[in-house]
Amino acid sequence: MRRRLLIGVLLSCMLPLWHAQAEEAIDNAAASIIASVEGKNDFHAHMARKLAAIAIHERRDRDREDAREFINMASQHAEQAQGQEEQESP
Amino acid sequence: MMRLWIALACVAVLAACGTTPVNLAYELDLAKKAIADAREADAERCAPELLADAESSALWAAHELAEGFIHPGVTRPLIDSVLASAKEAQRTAEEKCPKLPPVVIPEPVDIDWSAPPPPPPPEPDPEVIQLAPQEIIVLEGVNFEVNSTELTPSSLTTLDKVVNTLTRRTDIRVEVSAHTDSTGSGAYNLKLSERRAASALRYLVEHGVDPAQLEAKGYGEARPIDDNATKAGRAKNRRVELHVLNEQ
Repeated sequence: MRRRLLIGVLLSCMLPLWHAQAEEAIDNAAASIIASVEGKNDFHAHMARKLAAIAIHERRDRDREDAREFINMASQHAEQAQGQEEQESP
Repeated sequence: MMRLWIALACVAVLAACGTTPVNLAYELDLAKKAIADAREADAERCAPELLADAESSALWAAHELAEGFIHPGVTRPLIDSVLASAKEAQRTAEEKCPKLPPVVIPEPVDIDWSAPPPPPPPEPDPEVIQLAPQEIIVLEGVNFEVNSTELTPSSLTTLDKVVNTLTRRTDIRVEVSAHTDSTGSGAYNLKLSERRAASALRYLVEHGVDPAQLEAKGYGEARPIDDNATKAGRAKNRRVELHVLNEQ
């Protein structure tokens, strides 16, 4: 019984740490996406920036599921922006 | 008192219905329509930031609505922002990239290069005078001696051309008009011009022109075309003209 209680206390203490790590991962992903489209002004680059910003906003509202979803969408647009650049270069 | 409470309750219910997710969903649909219009105006190319603003806000609003109206204070401003950005994107795109009228490419024309070229237009016959309806032609070279109705030999070449013309173009009628200069009395000149017209007409008929095509008329000195005070002017005024009357 005591052991279970101890494990429960430990887990509850670790939860904020996991949350912090997850939030940090979202922030890092958003920052990486924004950096990847820096200097680009096409539609997909703008979409990637704006969706990454929304992801950060959602993360601050403790809505990590939505934040991840927006990060995924931002990442897809960033890839399309990269693809467009490759197509345009000779 | 009871009725007042019921009325207040109804007002409260109606006010609450004003911001239901159903209404917001409808407004979001309208905003998405505005995005589609902006895309139609080529906003993705000509106003990318504004269109991205509208589209990302629309995605966010759709998420908020899907969550079951958890953040009502966020969703409505988002939808308003979608609508404003989409309209601005459309306006900017229409200004920056106006649509040009469609280019109409004409149907290709099949040219048969092996076919012989069309024949050149026939050269005008120098022996024929070109006549048009209502035209007046001065028969250059048709002259008379002073006070005479006899045609000078040089007149005959011109009159032969008239014969050639009228025998080929039997569909037209002409008036042979004779004029004099102002030397002598007007009455005399009128008679003289009538005789000169008749003389020219006689020559034409004798050489094969159908008399039905011809009409002779003398105008005397009434219609000069040059100055009667000079010898050269008087010579020009003594003339014969062909008036094309009409086609038979």
